Amino acid sequence: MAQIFPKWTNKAPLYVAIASVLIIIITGGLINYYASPLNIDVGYRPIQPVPYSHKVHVGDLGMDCRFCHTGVEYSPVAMIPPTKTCMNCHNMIKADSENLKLIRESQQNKTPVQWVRVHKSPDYVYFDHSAHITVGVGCASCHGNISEMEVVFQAKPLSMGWCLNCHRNPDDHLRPFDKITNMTWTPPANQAEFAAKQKALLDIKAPTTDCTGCHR
Amino acid sequence: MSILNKHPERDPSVAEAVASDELLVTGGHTFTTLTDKVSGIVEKKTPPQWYLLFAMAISGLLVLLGAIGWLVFEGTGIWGLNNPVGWGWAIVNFVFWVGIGHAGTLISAILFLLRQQWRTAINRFAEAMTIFAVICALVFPGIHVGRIWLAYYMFPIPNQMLIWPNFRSPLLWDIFAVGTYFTVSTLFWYVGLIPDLATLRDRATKLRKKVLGFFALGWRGGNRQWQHYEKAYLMLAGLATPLVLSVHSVVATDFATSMVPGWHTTIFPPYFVAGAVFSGFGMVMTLALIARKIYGLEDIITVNHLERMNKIILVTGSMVGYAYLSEFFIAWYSGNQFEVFAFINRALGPYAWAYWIMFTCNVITPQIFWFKKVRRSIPIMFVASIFVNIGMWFERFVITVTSLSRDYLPSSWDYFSPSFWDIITFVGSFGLFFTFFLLFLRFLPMVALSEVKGVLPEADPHHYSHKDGGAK
Amino acid sequence: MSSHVDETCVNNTWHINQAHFLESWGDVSGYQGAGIIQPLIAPLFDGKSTIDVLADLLSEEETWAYGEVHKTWSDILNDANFDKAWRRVVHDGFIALDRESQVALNRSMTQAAVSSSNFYRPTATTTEMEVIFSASFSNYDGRYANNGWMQELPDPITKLTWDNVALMSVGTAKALGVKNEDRLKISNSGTDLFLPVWVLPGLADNTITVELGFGRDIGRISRGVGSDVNVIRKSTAINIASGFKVAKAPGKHTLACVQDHHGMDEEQLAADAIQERLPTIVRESSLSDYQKDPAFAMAFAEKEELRSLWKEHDYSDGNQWGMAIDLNTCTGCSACTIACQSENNIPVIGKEEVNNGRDMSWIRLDRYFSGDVEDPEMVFQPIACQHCEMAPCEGVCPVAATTHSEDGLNEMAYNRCIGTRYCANNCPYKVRRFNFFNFTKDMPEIVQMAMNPDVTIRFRGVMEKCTFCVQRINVAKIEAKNDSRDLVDGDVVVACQQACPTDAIAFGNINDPQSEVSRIKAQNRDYALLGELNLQPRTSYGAKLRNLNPAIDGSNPAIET
Repeated sequence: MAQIFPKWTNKAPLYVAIASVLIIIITGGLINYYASPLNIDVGYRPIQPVPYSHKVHVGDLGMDCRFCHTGVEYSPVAMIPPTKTCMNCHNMIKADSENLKLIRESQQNKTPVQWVRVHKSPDYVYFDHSAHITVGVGCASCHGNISEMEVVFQAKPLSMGWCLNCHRNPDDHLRPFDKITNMTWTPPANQAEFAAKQKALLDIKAPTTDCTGCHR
Repeated sequence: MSILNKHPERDPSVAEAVASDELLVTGGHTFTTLTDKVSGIVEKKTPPQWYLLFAMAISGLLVLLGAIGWLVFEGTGIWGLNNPVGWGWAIVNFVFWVGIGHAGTLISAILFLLRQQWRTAINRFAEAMTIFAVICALVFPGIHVGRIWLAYYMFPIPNQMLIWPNFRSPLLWDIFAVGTYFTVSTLFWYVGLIPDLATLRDRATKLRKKVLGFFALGWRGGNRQWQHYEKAYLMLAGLATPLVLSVHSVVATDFATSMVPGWHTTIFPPYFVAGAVFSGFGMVMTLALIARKIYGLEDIITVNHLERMNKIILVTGSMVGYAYLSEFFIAWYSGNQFEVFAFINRALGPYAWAYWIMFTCNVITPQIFWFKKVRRSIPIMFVASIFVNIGMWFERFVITVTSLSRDYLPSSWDYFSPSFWDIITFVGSFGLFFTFFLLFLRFLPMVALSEVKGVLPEADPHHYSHKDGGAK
Repeated sequence: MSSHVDETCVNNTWHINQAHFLESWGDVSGYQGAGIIQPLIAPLFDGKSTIDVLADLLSEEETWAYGEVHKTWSDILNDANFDKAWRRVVHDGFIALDRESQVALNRSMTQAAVSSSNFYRPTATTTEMEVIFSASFSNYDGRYANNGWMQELPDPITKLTWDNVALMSVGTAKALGVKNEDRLKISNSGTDLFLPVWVLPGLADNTITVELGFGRDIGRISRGVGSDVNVIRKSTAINIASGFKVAKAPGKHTLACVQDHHGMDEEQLAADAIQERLPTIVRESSLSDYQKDPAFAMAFAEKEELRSLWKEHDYSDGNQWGMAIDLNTCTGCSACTIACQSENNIPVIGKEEVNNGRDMSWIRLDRYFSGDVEDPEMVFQPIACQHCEMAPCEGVCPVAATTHSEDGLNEMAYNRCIGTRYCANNCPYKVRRFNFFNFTKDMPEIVQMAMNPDVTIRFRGVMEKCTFCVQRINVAKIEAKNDSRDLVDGDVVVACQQACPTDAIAFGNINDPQSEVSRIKAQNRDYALLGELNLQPRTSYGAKLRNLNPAIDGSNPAIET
């Protein structure tokens, strides 16, 4: 009787078995990596209606974050500054700049500028800026070095695992209170020592890792 | 010594056995006639009944798909569930189908290890039934969750949330238990199929030959192949045997580890396994009787086979009955008012009708099999097997729903009634089952040819050496 | 003028859209002072306030509410430096005024009122029945009928929602040959009223009680809910009327009741079981018995030490939240249910779903009758998640969506929940609520704006339950941390506790022996519901004590009744 299949097919089942296992593992791995916030969300840089430059204001002029984001120390939200905050200075400085046209219109028409939100956590996540600032977590820990961003982009994944990594081991992200808004601060050699002292000072054991810490 | 190693005409004891209908295959089949008979089913023209049944099965499947579609679109609320009764027909159906899935592996693995050679006539389609029943069963835990699209949270997949499933939860054990059971049963079934696929391949031509050849994995029937094959089959049987016991034990822990009165009982694992075997044999019986009639397999699935299955039904049915009674005893003995009430409520409460249907079908019905005449009467056993199926569905209903509907605080007691969607989802699951099963009957050998041949007189090494010189 | 288009509006030629009182300036006057109402928001629907309209009608010049309030207050304050005084009163919102606040009680009037001859003597018979018109518990006279929360709030005694019924005693129901949900025809001089029957133990015979506030013609929610009983009500007998013919009418009317889907006298088996369990579920005693046996509430507890299969977590550190509910002071008013619904964005699900047994209240009021059907006792028991330390719901969740927090909360992560409902099955208190449908799907935008932004809106297929107002706990914790201080008792007030008019609910840190909740839990009346299950609930109940007047309970035959 003639053979139905050529000889090489004798080994085919083995190869198919090995290949399918590999394909499943590799596809899973790829999806797991590429569909994660680390890959999808980091680098999100929407075009803002007004070409506001954090680099100029924070990096070159050395303005403090809290000058505009006034809520950050006291409330869950840092607050996007209202038009008035811009005009406090730009009444005088570059009052006729073409770039500020929308801001001036906003002031005249009493309509807010439609800024595009960059850092957004899902509705079921309750993040509180003040809680992080008061214990000495710097702005740059989550937002990256804003002082070098011409247009702000998302620098960190803001995923649950990323949050948990810090909540489980926050020591590297605690800094002296006067360095909170410092964009270029790097942990010193004795960071562990400092963190221990800081935690004792504030009487904090560990940040919450309970579900209701963030989800409620 | 087995009658198989003797020849009926030479050995008077064997001749006696034949006379008393104890031979495993009747009608004087030889290897050739058997092959023709069984292979013919898939090669020749399909009987018209098949088309009728298949149309019904496909309609049922479409109904199931429609019901699932609507469920995904609208939400779990389309079912009759309410606050105390969080699990209804979906879970009842799940346990029902998993239970049915028990008989196949029991017949093919445990009876194989126990050298029960009568199993060969029924093991193939019992195993097929197992696999399709487990597929039906797997549909339900998947669709009964509120957010079906997130059901993958139950699998331990590394993820950006750095969160794992809860390994303490019996539902998670279920996933592993049923998943493993499904994988091993399928593998076992497929391995068993290989020699028969090769037989079919050798009788086929063209594309059919190629397809069958692909799945026969180059089976040649050589000595070495048989040697490896038998070893693999034995190992798989060994692997599958603990699974038969574990899968329903784990399903039972869904109930037993919870604290609902009526669920919270250590008897559940063995009781569920006995019930599962019972229901599985009920279903095998129903299917065997139909298939045997349609395809004229009376010589292969003889009344002797059916009688043996009825004996198992009698034994497991009595075990189930014992479990029902001991539940009452334990509830009374515990002195726990919630437990006592849970069982009184089952028998006398608003679901008493369901309880007594269950009790009649599962405990009283199989008792008729004490009589040999009844054990060998095909119409009676057909009706009884259907009763067993009904009774076992109701057993799961009684356990799941009555216990939940009245637990600790009377303020939250409520009554569960199924909705239209509950009913058609259940009916639809039969569509899914029969679609697979009919396709199996149509395209694969429904009797394990190579194994049945092993129990034919012709398999006796001395068969050809007697004076007639062989083939009739 | 009205804020809504109602039955009166549609019969009028003109209708002015009235602003809510918090959408406009205004002022109020009370016994001890006067206050200013400031608008909280610009009128959402362009409404006009009463002051706007009256000022427009009365004044020649163009004016609006602010100007009028300002003007009024310049007279009240009568201050040389008015601007400063005005700013002060706007800031404070209130000014104390010296007024005669005490009115002498007229003794003779009171005596006359309670003298027995003034009591109404019922004359009702089976053929000439009496009808009592009572304001609806939740809708009042119908003014709240368009509020879904109120429609879905179960009546504390009947536990019915979304309907008004003809309440009658067991004896009357027997005499009329009717059962719950039968339709009843109540007729009086040619007018017929059809209402579903609801039998309630303890009512007077031959008396039908009907509720006002239903059967409205207009309103997104109220239209078609219940029946208007005013058709048989006359201005001459506004509260109680007699001489009604009452008979069974054909047909059934489905009622959505959240408790006792099988009533007390419908099924003996259930009724017996309830009576058997009741003494352990709601532990009660009389004052005199309590004085003799102060530890009676503990007497039900299992004697031997309860042990757990799991390794128990140590909760002796930090804030550990707990609740104590005093059954003595609970009146069953259900304000906690509504407060919770408002705080926690609990959806309104409608009559059909309530009837399907899917009510969503995170804190519910269980009502039990005991004793004689003609003269029963009744108790209420508020039940919310008990936050068991050994919570049975947590172990069974396959995806770890419900877990325990360090401060002893039984947490529910909605976004992790896949909805197996296993947790709800395994909860002996049955406090878990499942979103069977997407109940917030067709929520109007204006209602969406009323949602609490601190609490997630749950999607369908998700389990939910009382969280001990974890959003409030978190806010209090963060505020305390921002102020570099520890939480003190009273920093966290949960919604049900806040709304409870009798302070029956106490909440706080049970690790602090000085906290209110710890002091209440230390009382000997304190017991854990289903404590023998060893779930170690964080909520405990204060056993109920009755102190019946011996003249009423019949225990003192020396007193003439």
